[in-house]
Amino acid sequence: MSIVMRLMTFMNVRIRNLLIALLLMLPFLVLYVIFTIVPAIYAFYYSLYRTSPTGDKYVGLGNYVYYLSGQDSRFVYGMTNVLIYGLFNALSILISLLIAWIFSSPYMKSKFSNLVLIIMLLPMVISWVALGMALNQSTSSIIGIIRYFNNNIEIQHPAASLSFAVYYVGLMLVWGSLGYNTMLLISTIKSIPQDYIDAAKVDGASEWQIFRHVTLPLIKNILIFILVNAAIVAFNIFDPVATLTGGGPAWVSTSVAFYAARQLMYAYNYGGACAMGVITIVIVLTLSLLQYRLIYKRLA
Amino acid sequence: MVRVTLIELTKIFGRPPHHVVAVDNLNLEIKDGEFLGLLGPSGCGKTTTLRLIAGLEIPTKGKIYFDDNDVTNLPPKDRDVAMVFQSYAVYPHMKVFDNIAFPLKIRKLPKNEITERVKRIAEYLGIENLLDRMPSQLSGGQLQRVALARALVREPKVFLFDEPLSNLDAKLRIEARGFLRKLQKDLGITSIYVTHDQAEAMVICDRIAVLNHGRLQQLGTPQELYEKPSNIFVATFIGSPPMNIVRGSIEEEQKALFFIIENKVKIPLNKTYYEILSNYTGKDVLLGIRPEDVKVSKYGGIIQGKVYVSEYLGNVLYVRVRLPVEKEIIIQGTGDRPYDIGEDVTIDINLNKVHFFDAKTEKLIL
Amino acid sequence: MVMNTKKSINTAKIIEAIIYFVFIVMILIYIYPFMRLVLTSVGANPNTVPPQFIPSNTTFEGYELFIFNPSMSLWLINSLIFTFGVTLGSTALAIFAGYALSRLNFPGRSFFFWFIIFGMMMPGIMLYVPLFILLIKMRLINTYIGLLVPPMASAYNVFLMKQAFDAVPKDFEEAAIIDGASTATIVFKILLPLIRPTLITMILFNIVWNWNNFAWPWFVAPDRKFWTLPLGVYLTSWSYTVKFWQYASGAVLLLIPPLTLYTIANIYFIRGLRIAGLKR
Repeated sequence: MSIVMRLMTFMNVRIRNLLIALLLMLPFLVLYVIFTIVPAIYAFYYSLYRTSPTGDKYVGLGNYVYYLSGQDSRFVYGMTNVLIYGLFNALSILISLLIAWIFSSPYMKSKFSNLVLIIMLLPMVISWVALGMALNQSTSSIIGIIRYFNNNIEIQHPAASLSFAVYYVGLMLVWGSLGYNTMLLISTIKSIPQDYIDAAKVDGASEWQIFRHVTLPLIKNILIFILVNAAIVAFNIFDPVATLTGGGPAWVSTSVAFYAARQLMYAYNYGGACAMGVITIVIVLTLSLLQYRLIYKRLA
Repeated sequence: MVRVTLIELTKIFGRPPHHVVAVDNLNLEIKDGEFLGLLGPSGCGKTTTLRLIAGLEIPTKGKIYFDDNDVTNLPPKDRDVAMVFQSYAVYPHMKVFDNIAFPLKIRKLPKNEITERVKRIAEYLGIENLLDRMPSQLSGGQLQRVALARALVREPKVFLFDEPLSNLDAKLRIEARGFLRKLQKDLGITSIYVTHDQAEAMVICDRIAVLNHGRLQQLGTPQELYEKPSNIFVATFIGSPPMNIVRGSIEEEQKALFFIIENKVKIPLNKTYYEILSNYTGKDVLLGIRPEDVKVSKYGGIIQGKVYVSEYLGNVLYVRVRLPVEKEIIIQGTGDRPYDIGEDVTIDINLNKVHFFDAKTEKLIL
Repeated sequence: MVMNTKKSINTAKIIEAIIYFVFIVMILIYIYPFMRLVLTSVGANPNTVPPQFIPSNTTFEGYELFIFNPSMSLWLINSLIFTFGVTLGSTALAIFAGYALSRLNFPGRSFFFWFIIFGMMMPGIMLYVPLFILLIKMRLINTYIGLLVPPMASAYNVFLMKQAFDAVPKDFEEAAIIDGASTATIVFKILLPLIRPTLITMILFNIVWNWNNFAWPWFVAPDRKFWTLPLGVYLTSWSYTVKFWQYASGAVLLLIPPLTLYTIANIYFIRGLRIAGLKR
């Protein structure tokens, strides 16, 4: 070992640092390349094949054509749902903005708002396996209460309803993300220097006018960033779909990720699943790059 | 154009035992059209007092009146005050024009009236060519005038200034001082000016309220504060370089009074002070004398000493002299030439300008 | 003047009322589901009309099943192995890589940095798909290695550690170097203690995330023997033979550890969520 050390002192400091750095990063890099980069490449490769138990057949862009032309209704459901879920995410952010404004107002006793915030953050630390179950049962119980008071109403559990399952999942998405978004927005609002708010007060603005003319414009950049994030996150939605409705009934509430997973595991459709994967990766990458441009524009 | 009256104004932050008394039972009347300074070191409560007058804080106790109206519980927007912040608080996301127009826009004034008033104010302050720029493109001095314009455009009842010059460089600061004073005199709006810079307050204000630890130390014109400070704090805070303070006692010898330091230095006192000072015979007092009233020369003064250091400033030469006593007492005076460190010199004190203080509370004579 | 204060008092009261209303609504909608789950787990049927809030037959059978039944308690053990194994591994990897990226000046540093950022931009779940194929080829499906090792390459963790190291002023290190300390001493005795809050936050976060993760084990460990607790509870809840109070108990057991951690380490979590949210 000491021979190596002595050898190293003769080398250029930067080269030496490079070697040390590579050594330190090696374990991570090895795993990262094998398990993140290689799969990405694999995805491109396999997406060009149609796989089946009898053998793989090269179809070029056939898979992409198949999915993007809308021939697979489940994929279409997946994509439209991702859009819908994205909108629900955006809705969650808007509601959180309102709540964050209320929580950061001077009338708020910070002890209470902290407590409520902590409770609202519960969905972030608990597995959707438990959340999905809890939510489904809560909905059942509420339906049960309503039907108890009015025997004639026939309410179907939204998770089993063809028309409402998607909105049910969307609503639960809002439920799950309110706490996190509110917390994020509260710290954003609080990061505005108090002087601007004081100046507006002295200038004669009411609370609402302050929010509209001073607070909102100053958090605009972060808000847009968060909204783009909502879109990106929508593509990744898996857990809520799996645990609330299982993608159904009849795949109406599925997301792209969930459908791809099922195609992979149960239908052994590697090629198709990979094609869906690549499509998603491309869209998400574009959105991410858009996000980074937004950050740089803000810093500039 | 109002008279502002503060009655038993108190503001306490936090709860015991960790509470902070920022403003302690302040009673103050600011005359109509006056330019009043709130002067003091950091943490003395001057900014808090200003914010209480603005309505940004609610007092724990006490009342605030504008003329005869009790505004104590009114929010800022109902008090018709304008404020210039230390950081200027010029809205970064609006053009200069929109910044100045903001208070008028909030009150839903008609568009052409807003444009006319903004342009007028901008011309008055010399920034009419900046109206289309964004704040990020402006210099400190320009931003300050935008902040001023925004405050002026409303023609408010009271003007509040929170250390508006501290972010400017020294030369700009001096120019701005005169500018602000002239502006206030032209407009005649009652103004309250917070600063920790005593020179600034002396130049700009009609009267100054000196604050320390939330309490009013003295209220008076700059001249009154300088020549008749009512306690040690005011005496040493006003005037730069600060007044020399020496501890000693008063002794009487054959109907004449002397100021004694450690039985080694003996200064005879004027007969005119006999009446007042004789009450303090045998007691400890603090003697105060300003450096410009202390002459340092090679021979001829009443006290001997050794030079501690000379400070040559071009237009004036200060010499610090160590007195021949046990404790280290150094007196700063004006010298006739630069002395070397350690040189023997003599000090002469103008006994007509001497102040005496009782263990920090009272002031006795000029 | 009197009118003004009256008006502002009234608006203040209305605003306070709205605030309290929001409070109560929020508390209700977040506590009710969990309360419901616990009730179901002891036998209260949520599907009847009206739903039961008091079970007709209180039973702890569900809990007993998950704790004492060997095939189900295996899931618990697997979860523990998975959670702590992956957290430990990814933390160690992240500390080394993060230190290198932050403190060492070497050619190609920014390339590696962007390389890692690029990985963070990939949608996680979609990568599982080709990853699954890869693991089949490597014959790592249904093995502990295949389960534990891939998630250890967490770009998020590396990024967090790099940021944490960046935040420590170089002065501390330089003072230690002048004092003659070796690199190892500097890292362990100076840097790590200084980034302790971020480190603890990251570890807590990892523990919770790994414990709750059921998508990954679902892909990688279809064999019952390797199921983790969330996976086990999830898959049995779709089965017709398992009763509702049984899988509800599983769910409750599932949420107890993160919930306790959360209650105890509240501050760290809130800080962690804030860092994680703005990290991109």
